[in-house]
Amino acid sequence: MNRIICVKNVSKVYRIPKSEKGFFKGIKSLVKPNIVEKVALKDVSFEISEGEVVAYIGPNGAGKSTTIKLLTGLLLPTSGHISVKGQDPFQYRKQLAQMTGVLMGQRSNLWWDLPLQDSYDLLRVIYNLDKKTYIEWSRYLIETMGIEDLLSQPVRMLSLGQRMKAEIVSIFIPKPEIVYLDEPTIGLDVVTKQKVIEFLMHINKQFHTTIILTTHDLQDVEKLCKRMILIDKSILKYDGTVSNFIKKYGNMKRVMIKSDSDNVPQLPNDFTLSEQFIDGWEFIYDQSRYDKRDVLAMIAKLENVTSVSFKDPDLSLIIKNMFREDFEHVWDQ
Amino acid sequence: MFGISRGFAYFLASFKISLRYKVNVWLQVLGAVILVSIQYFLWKNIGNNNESLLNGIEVNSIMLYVIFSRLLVFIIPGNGTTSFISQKILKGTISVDLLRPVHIQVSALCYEFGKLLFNSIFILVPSILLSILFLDIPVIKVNIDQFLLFGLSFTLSYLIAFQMSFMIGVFSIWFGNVWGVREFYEALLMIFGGSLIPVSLYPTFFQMIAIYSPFQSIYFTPLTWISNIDHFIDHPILVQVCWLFIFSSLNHFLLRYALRRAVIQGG
Amino acid sequence: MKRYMTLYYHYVKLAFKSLFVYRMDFLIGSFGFILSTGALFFSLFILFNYVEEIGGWTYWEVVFLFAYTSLARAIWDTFMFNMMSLSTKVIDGSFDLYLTRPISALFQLLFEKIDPDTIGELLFSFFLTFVCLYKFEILFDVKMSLLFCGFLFSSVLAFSAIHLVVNALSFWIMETRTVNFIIWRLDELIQYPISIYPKWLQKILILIPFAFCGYFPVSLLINAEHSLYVYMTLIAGPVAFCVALLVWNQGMRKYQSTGS
Repeated sequence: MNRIICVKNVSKVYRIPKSEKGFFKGIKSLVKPNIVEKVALKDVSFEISEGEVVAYIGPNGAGKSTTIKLLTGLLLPTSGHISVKGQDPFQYRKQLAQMTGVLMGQRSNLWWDLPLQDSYDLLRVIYNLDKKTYIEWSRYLIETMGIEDLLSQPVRMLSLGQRMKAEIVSIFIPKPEIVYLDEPTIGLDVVTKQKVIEFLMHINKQFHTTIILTTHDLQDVEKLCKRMILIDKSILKYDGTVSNFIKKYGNMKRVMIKSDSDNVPQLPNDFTLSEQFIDGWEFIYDQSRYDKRDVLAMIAKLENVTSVSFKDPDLSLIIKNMFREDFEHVWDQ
Repeated sequence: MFGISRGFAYFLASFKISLRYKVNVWLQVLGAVILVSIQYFLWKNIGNNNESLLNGIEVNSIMLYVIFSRLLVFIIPGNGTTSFISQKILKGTISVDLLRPVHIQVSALCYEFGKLLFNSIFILVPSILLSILFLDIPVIKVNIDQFLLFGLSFTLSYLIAFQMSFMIGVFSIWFGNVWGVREFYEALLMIFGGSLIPVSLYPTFFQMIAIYSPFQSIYFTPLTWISNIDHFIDHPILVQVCWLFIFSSLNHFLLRYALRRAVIQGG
Repeated sequence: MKRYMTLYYHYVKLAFKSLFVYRMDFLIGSFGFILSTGALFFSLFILFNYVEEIGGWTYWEVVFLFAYTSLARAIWDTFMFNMMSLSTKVIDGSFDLYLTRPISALFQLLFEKIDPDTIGELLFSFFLTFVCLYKFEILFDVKMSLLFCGFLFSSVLAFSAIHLVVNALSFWIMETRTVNFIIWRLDELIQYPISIYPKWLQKILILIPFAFCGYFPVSLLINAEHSLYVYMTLIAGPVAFCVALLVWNQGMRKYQSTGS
């Protein structure tokens, strides 16, 4: 398959004037601002082929948005090399923009006061699309997403979910080859989220659109993406299939203990309390160290326990725990 | 008191926001000095080529008046307060403010105080100093009584302007957008508030309208105390108190109505 | 080029469409704008009740100067006011949206929205200019009328250039709202003949080039002068705009290499 995106040893460092605390220091910094360097990406390399759906995940501030800005040519990397469709995105920003769709959090493609249809029509002009193809293609997108009813409504009247659906359709109006979606499902209800995911899957299957999405919702990743790239503290930590990731790092198990007592059950140190409920606690432990029977035996010694249940790990659980200090050893393997 | 300390947080926030944008501060001082210079050169030119009394007022007094009116623009509440409240209404977050322990007017006012302190220290004081240093701005003997009355009168005008801007913000419930109303208010302030030239120079007809409008309480009244211009109303401070009372009560009712509407409409 | 023309047509169409969304506010705003331009005019009127001339200019000459500068500014204000939002767009990151599109970011910034609120101001100052053109016998003189149009074009460009530079500062200093506010207020500077200012200030005004937005064109029109200044006034705007474009490009480079 064709490699559409190539990122090689890319680093990005921001230089930020530091704001001083305290009144007089504040005044002093008026004269001579302190510059602080902040590393957003450190020596990151990956490649993406045409038609792939890739999840780009990591905690806040890990460098996800920076990566998207670099790939769309909005920013210049401090070092390293990027090519999109064989070209330098910074130099060929406008040419690449013609075939790229970008959804950036909080930034809207839509005109606030006007009916949705007007925003789409404007995009046709901005992207210089042929009128006939535009009409057919936009109708197809609108029907696939199921937002026919919204077209005549002013955008400011749309609910959050409706607006996101409309926003995502707007991204696909110019029939892009590559699409970057920054948090496309954030804050959406279950039904809308499902619709958005189905829409993306459908478009990807039909038209081999390359989709790169950042998200915090790991259920989306499991549904939509075969491949994931994990980034943490500006460093690429994992690049491979989602299923491999779960297999490799998935020897954690969850155990749910319900109890009448208010005290947290005393278990060995490598049992991590992951969640607290009104009537119980959920712990995570390493399956390779403790057998299920060992765990049951330990719990049996506790008082007031009303029920015990075991669960398999999912992606969110694994990642959540990887970013904890006490699971640092997982990275060292 | 809990409410006040929470209000103080708003005050600090507004102060810090302003500090963050550094170069801006210097440019603002520059801008203020230029604004003062325009009036200085204009009135100096007028003073040199005409007799020294216009409508019985000394040119030097007028010069002081217009210079200070240009500086007051930086600290009199206005746009900030209007958008503070109108954004809350338009985004529907006003119902959240209902739940806060601080009255919404207190938090808006604290925000303005932050601006007042910041702009006084970083714009007013430096630009007054620079102006005195480079331009021979006339000095008029102002006795301590007049100065105290100016202080009192300015405080009242500050609060009236705050109440009026706040009210315009509340208007966004009906208009959806208050940019136009805001522009209208500014224009009235220029004509009847005497923010461009003292009302005393107007033809009698316009003077009469200005006297009975609330706008002259914002610029004209406080400025007359420090520029030795006759304020041709009896008890100007009493008039200010009345206007403040009227607008505060109006806002009280408007706000209650607005909150009820916001709650019904939902966020 | 054709693509940009079509796009501009669409922008204008949408702007007028959204104008009717807040009809009430639009009406009040237009009226307010007429009133605030009127207020400035009013203060001139009051002033001339007491004085014969300002800086050697008579009442009607000052009115012409006032009308001309208001008109040039109103044209800029109506069609390019969106550049004032650059600072906000850089701070909240929505400027990035322009960069993800296949057309010039500057074009989008300048023309994406037109400000219909200022149409009142536009009409008022146009009317006043028209009266002055008649008064100074320029209206029926084809050559002078053409010169007037040329001057006006140059002045609008000069106005835009000044504001573009100020707004492009957002790329370096983030917040320019207050600077904008000051530049806005500085318009007052050129509403009086610059001859009232000391020499050094006059030089600055020629350099900035505020003097070409009013003082020079109007005095050349009034005196029907044929000097080198005519050509200077005609090219001042385009030159200033080119300089502004250079500043803009530098700003974009800064923005894209360091990020917000």
